[in-house]
Formats: sequence, structure tokens, C-alpha cells
Amino acid sequence: MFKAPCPSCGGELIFRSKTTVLCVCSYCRSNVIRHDVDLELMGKQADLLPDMSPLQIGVTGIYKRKRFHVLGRQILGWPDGRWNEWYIMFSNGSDGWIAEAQGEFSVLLAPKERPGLPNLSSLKTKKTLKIDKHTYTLVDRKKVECLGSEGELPFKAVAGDKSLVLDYSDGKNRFASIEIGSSPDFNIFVGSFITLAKVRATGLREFEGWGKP
Amino acid sequence: MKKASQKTARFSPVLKSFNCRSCGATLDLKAVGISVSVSCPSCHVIIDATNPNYKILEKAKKTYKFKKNPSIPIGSRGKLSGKTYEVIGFMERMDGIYPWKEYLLYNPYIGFRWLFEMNGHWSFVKRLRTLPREQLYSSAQYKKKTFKLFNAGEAKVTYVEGEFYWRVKIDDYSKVWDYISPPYMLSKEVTKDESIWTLSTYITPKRLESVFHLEENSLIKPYGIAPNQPSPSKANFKRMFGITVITLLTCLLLQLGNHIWVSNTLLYQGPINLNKERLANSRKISTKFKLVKTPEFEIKQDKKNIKLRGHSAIYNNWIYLDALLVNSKTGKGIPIPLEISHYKGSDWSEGSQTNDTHQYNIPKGTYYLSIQPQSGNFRNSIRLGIELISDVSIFSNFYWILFLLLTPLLTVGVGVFSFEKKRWKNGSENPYGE
Repeated sequence: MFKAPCPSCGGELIFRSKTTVLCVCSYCRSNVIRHDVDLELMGKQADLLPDMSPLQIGVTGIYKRKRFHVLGRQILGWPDGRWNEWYIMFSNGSDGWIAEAQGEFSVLLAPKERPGLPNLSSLKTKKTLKIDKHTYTLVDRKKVECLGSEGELPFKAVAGDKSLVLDYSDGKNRFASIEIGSSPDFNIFVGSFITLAKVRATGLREFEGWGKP
Repeated sequence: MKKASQKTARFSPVLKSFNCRSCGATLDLKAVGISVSVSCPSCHVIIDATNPNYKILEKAKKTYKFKKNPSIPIGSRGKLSGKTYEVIGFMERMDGIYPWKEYLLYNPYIGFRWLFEMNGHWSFVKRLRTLPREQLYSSAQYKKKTFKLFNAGEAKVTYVEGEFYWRVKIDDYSKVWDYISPPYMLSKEVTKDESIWTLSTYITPKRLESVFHLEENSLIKPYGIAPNQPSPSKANFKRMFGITVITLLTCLLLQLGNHIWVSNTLLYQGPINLNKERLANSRKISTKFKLVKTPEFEIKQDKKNIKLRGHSAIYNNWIYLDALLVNSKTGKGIPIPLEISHYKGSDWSEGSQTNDTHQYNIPKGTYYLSIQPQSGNFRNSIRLGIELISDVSIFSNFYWILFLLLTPLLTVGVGVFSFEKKRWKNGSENPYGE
């Protein structure tokens, strides 16, 4: 863990994960980029969009017998709505994401063997992709835009960033997702659906009239 | 239940509340950040909540034309399978001329569920993320259960109210396949963009009335049979079948034990010639047969039953033996009448040349049989063999038990069959035929 004052307002910034690149100051909403021990300011973000997400920074739970903590999130928008991607860190230092869309939750982790980026110009004909010995089929591709972020994130994700997302499914209960941003690099994850009860999430947000989760 | 994907509008926030562009009314969202389209409660247009200008997706004229009232009002909350859900959306869909209603339920910690209602029959519906295995549209496997294809049809949205997590429009079209294993139903819904599997569980209107605190009998009484309605007699049949089999086996064992246990003591056996009486002082023959008396015999065991069996090679005739088992000492007679009748045509026959009759609780002692025969024709003599046996096993009680046990089982069985026949009449895959 690394603590430092916000270069803009002096409020305390906490970098819990070594992989954190961006930390959004919780007091002044400044984007703070970490270069080892040096911090760089990169503008401010507008207030976060309101939503009914039960997750928030600080929520913990257990996935595959490993405890995780929610460190930050980015909100992604596409023409048919928006969803949250919560950055999580496991007790052993590895990281992943909880995607929250249409009221459903899934855990996304980096595959054991990272496949090469599929050829984007031939996606119409070559729809399958092999990841960790499972075959996935392309089910959707969409242009997304970052609508805001908070807390710690492993890359610079600020409102207005655009990327392309390819959604794959294995036809049973697993799916894969490829995010191609402006940088030459891309992110690939394999995911499976979870419920908050199954991962025994604690520290969830409480909503008026809904009692304790 | 679909997520359209028209990639036209610019991305934009979904706010907690905003004003209807058509009438100015304030709209409050429940699933903030998730809901994509919402209907205006005052002017009934459908608004795109993701559009910066809150574009109108559907004009009021189109949504209001077939105004429907949800029987569980939007905003109602109730506990289903242990979790509280709020009704946030309501729509009607149709397959041709058959309408049904869908209620969108929301819980911020769990997400979305549905209630479907058709003809007063309700189901609690959940989207599946572990996909069933489909066998060429004839059956589907989910969690080791086999579901039979019940109906292949379509669904078209005809009415919308409340908020939804996709861009909903009147006339949204999808193809639907329903597979059943009551009280469950698996449905596959296919639009041009995606295919979605759901699992429906049958739920009674009574239960929903109490769950959503509705007035008693405010939900209409179900009519007809729903695809996933549990057969009321099937559970009975299963239970009855078990009980019947156990009872039958017990009775059979008792009967067989009895059959082995009895002594089957032969008391008398012999041919009897039935002759007509010659009238005194006349050459004429009486219409009556002579009284027959057997030799005496001993019944050694007390209170046993006896069986009188008669056999005669008669055709189209009857014999009636008005027999008495007479105690030699007291002269008291116990009636044990026996009738043998046998009729035969070229391709039919009735009765038999052999018949039995029983008498019970005979005290031990010395007896003889006194028989006054009668017959249906006027032949002078008839040959007859009789046999008197004491302590025999009697199967008639057993047959009665068999009959009494199987009748209700069969009745319920017929009920089960006709229920299934009626159920499948409503599906496109009716195995019972038209």
C-alpha cells in the first residue's frame, strides 16, 4: 500500500494495488496518475453518474476461496445503456474485475494463456476464439465510451475514452471479453456469472426501503 | 424480455429523475443507471432514458390504443423465494391472438426477475446464465431434468408501461420455444441480436395475492390448463400407486399363505343321477326330480368353510340344486344351494358346466347332503358330479380387494391422462394428435 497527499487538494490518496495507474481523488475528483512514487495531475472529473449499484469501493467478498476487495470502477456507456466495471484485487495480489450490467454480476479474470488479438477485419467470417482450451464464439461487438471513473484503476480511464468491446460466449456458462482502446495494447478477460450472495459480499451500499442486503 | 441493440443514439447518462419531453411530467426511475426506456405515467409515451434529449421512442397513441391495467400495480413489493422484489415494468405480448402479461421485478442486490400471467396462470421467471442443452427442438436438458418441447411460437409486444433495461417498443418481435417439465418451463427467446433462456416456475394466484398484499380474489381465477401447471392428480396417482402396490402385495401374500395353510379335506365325491319321480299309482312321470341323499360324512374341524362343486355336461340348460347340509344328530340343515347353467351358440357361450358355492362357519359333526334338484328342461335324467370339500381357500375376497383397490387408481389414472391431453392441446407439439 502506498499513501500520498493529492497534488491538487492535499486529501489522502491510497494506492492499495501495485498495478494501479490512475487514482481518482475522492475529495476533489482530480485524476492522479502514478509514476512509481511521482504523482501527476491529469484534470478533474465531473461528479459520478447516480445509479443503484449495490457495489462500492471497499466492498469485499470471496471468489474461488480467495478474498477480494473492490478498489475502483469505470462506468462504460454504449448506445443501449451503461454498465459498471469494478476493479478488484485479490488477497494474493492478483487482480480482476466485476462487471455489473442489467442487474447481473460477473467476475472477469485474465486468461492463463493470453491469445493473440483476433483480426478485426475478418470478424464477420472468423467468429471463434480459443482461450485456455475453451472455444468461444463472438456474440456481440460494440463501441463503448468511458462515462467516468472513481478510485484506483490499472489504466488511465477517464470520461470520454473510447474503445471497442468484443463479447464472446462458450454457449454454456462462460464468456470472454476483449477491450481494444486507443493504445496498441488490448485487454482480454474470461468471465463467469456470480451473485452477490454467492461471493458473500460485505460492505454493500444500503438503499432506503430495501433493508440490509 | 430482450435487449435491443440499435446503435444509433449518442451515449448519455440515465438520471434519477427527468421531465417528460411530451407533457412535462416528472419521471422517477427505480433502477437508476440500468433502466433504458421508461413510460410516462401521465401521457403514456415511451422515453429513451439514455438519450440526451430524452427522445420519445413510442408515441402515446400507439401505447395507449390497447391500454391494459396491471393486476399487480407498478411499485408493488413482495417476497418471492425469500427475496423482496418491486414491480417496475409491465407489458403485454401476443402470439397471434393469444395475449399474456409480463411483469418486470427488480431488487438492487439481485437484479431482475419476471412474473408471467396467461389465462390467470402465473409463473415466476428467471434468466438462465447456464444454458440448457437443446436436442433439435424436441427436448432440452437443464440440471439433469428433461424438458419436452411444448410450443414453438412467436411473441410481439402490444402494450408497455413502467421502466425496462432495454429499449422497448410496441411490435418488438421474437421467436419463442417453450419446453416443459411441470411445474417448470424452459423458454428460448430469439431475436435478431441474441437468444435468451429463461426458467419459469408455476405459482398460484393465491400465493401472489398474499405476497403482494393484494385483496383476496383480486387476481382472476385461472382457466384452462397452463403449459407448466402441475397436474393435481399426478401426485395423487404416484402416492396411490405406491399404496396400492404395497396393499396388493400384502393381500397376495396373505392369500397365498392361506392357500397353503388350508387342509382341503374331501368330504364327499361322487356322481349323482338325477331322475324324475314316478307318481304312485300312475304310469305318468312327475315334473319333479327325486330327492337325493348322500352317505354320511364327518366334518372333523370346527367352524371351517365348505365348498360344494358341481359339474354336468349340459348345453343350453340349467340345473339348480336346492342342497341342504344336514346334521345327522340334530337334523338341522344348512342351505348350500348351487346353480349350474350353460348356454352355447355358434360363436358365443354363457355360464359354465362347473360351478362352486360356499358356506362358512360349519360346526363339526356328522352330516349328509340332501339335494332337491331342479332343471330347465324335461329330460328324465341328468348325470351330475358333485364334490364337497371342507377348509378351502377362497379367492373371491381377494378379487374384491383387487377390484376395490384398482378402481380408484384407474379413475385417477384416467384423470392424469385427460389432464395431460388437455394441457398439450394448447401447444404446437401435441403428441396426442388433434
